[in-house]
Amino acid sequence: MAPEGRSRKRALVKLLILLLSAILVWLGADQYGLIRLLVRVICPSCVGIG
Amino acid sequence: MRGDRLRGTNSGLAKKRIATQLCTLAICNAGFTAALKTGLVVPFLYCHGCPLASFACPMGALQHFLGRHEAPFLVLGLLSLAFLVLGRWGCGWLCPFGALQDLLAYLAGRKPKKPKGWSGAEVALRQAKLGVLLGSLAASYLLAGTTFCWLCPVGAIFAGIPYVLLQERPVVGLFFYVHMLVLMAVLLAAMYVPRAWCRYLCPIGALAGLFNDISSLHLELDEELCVRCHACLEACPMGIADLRDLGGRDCILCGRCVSACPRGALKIALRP
Repeated sequence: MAPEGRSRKRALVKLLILLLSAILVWLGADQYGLIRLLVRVICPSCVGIG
Repeated sequence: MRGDRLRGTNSGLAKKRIATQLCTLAICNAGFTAALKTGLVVPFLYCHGCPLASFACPMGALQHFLGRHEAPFLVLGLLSLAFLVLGRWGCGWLCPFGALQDLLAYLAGRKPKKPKGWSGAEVALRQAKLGVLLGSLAASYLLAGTTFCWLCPVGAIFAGIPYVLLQERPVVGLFFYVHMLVLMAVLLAAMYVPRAWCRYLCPIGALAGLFNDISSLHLELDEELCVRCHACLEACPMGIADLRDLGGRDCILCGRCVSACPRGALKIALRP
């Protein structure tokens, strides 16, 4: 494969893994109530939502 | 001169690497109070059983959640984010156990060998670390325990020994002696084969290595400057034997090859 094509493929794989990692971190943070904690810090009145 | 025994040992890059390794060891042991114990995982093996540990061991954390039959979302997410940027750079520049193996290889003063191609057995042995990773995680799930930690030499030196030294009347069981045996075997091996643990057995190295092909930090070889003198391969502590494998799954981005190259054809660079 040409170097340009290889670099494009690598960037795509990287983007997919980055997306997957972000989802995993979000799920993990949700699992341990970290998102709720964050919302409580940023916007105390929003805690009851959701 | 001792530095000649392991090329690249006296370069500026080597000094930076050693300083980084020492700083990491200090930061990993900054958990003097509960507030300083972050609970975050590091991208290399470091036992959270250490009395002063400020971070969690990635392998210990993965096993912990699998042992409880819970999905380790956060650990996996944080690790993949770290490896996506760093690849195995943490093995070469941060890992305290890697630094200890570097020190042992330096003290043993073994002369670098001319690189030979890997035999079939060598290739198979290098895959063993993936087996250790998957086997340990499966065993943790099935046996509901941190099975890898029962034998881990990193836990032995950074948690087992300090624990015994800090207790007035230490109570040691069979596993302490098993730990010590494994530790001695690994350290002895590191004196004869540089970074033996990282080459063949480290499960976190195996996981990080999978990201080396796409990680932002990577090793760049300028084909036009390279004269195929193989000084880089002779300096490689991971025993990489082919120019095409530089920067591959076994590369820990330590930069010894960069220092050893007489033409400056290699560099550790960032890519998008």
